Amino acid sequence: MSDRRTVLLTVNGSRVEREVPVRLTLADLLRDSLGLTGTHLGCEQGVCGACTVMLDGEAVRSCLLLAVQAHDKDVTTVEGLSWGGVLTPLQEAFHLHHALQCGFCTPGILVSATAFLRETPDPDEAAVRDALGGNLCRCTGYSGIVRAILDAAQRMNGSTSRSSADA
Amino acid sequence: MKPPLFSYADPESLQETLELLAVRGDTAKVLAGGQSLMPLLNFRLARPEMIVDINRVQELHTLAFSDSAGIRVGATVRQRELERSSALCTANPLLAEALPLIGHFQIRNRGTVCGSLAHADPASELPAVALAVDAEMTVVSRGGRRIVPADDFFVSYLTTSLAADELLADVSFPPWKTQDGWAIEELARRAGDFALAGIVVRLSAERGTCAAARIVAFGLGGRPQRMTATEQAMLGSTAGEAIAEIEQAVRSEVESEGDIHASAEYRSEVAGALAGRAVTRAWERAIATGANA
Repeated sequence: MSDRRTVLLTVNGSRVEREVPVRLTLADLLRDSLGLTGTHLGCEQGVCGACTVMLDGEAVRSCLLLAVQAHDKDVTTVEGLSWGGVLTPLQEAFHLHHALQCGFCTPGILVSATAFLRETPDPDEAAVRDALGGNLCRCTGYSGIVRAILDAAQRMNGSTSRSSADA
Repeated sequence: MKPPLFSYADPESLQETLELLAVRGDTAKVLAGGQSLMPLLNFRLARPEMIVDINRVQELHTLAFSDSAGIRVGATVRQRELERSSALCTANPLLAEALPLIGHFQIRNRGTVCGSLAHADPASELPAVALAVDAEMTVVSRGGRRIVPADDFFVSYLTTSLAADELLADVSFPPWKTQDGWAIEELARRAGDFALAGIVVRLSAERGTCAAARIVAFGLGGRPQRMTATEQAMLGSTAGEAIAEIEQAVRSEVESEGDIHASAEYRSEVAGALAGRAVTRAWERAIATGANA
């Protein structure tokens, strides 16, 4: 019941051990202690979605989780989505469809959409828009983001024609 | 902002949890999904001395479906877990329709069913559904256990009848009556936002007239409200055709309060319209069950 605790967790495939204040959020552990600043903090009240990470494969708000609650868990941040500098189909589609402008919301959207597409491999546009409800973007207006996610779904389902997705 | 200083306990047993609550009283706060408590901490609106994290208490992670007893949802069951249960659509189609309206999927991945009930935000869907189906709360403390009907559980804004040393251990949704039609309607500025007004309806029909009706309004005042006068007026009527009367009855019966999001008048007006839509859909479903053929 002390005010500090040691947490052991897996972050993007690596085992991590840190002693943390119990009130530290997972978002602050990732950013300040592990240097994974791709996880962005916007509202710190679960609304904006910029801090979304995967906890044991489920998209969650890292600003609403204590670091101590991630003990023994597996965390994936935006940095852990791709390996060896090769973009995932979703990241590639974001690039292609100009699905970002300032980029602040992008990490949360990439993580959320990655989780969404795992569960919903062949979504229609309405489902994509509904899934994006939990991520605020204040510059692009979502059109490019929706197109990118739909295109990514197609690519991941084996239909990789860029021209048809662009049409 | 960041959470204030607190000490943290994550007991493994229910007994240990209740012991902590008994000793700490209202200086402790229970943490389950954290989707309401963590924002309150980050805003410093809540400053508990101790956080009692119940996520490691295995006894509280129970989800049971049965024909005779309905659905029993333990304190640490996530909203998403219930939403994804294949048995839910037949076991309680109203809950199945309501769950996706809560926040966003990232919130429901973490938020718990019991946590939402114990937090008792007047704009949240689950308390209204609990009232509409006569759910029962199992409330435990070191001193024992009591069963609290939904109607006695919700008191006012963020206030329930839970005492400081008590824990909502599980909620029990009674078996679904297959002849019932159902609907939930709400108005929010954006999908996933807190509802400005909402209506839950459960009703049944016999030989073309309304045999039983339950209408619950939420998001309007301090707690979900049963529209008992409207329910009474609907009995024996062809509810599917008397929509204008039902809308008006709800508007005059509901007690709304205004805030920066919407005035009381607007909320009542919307509640009437939502009641019309919800009753229409519930009526179609009740008729479709064939119980009144």
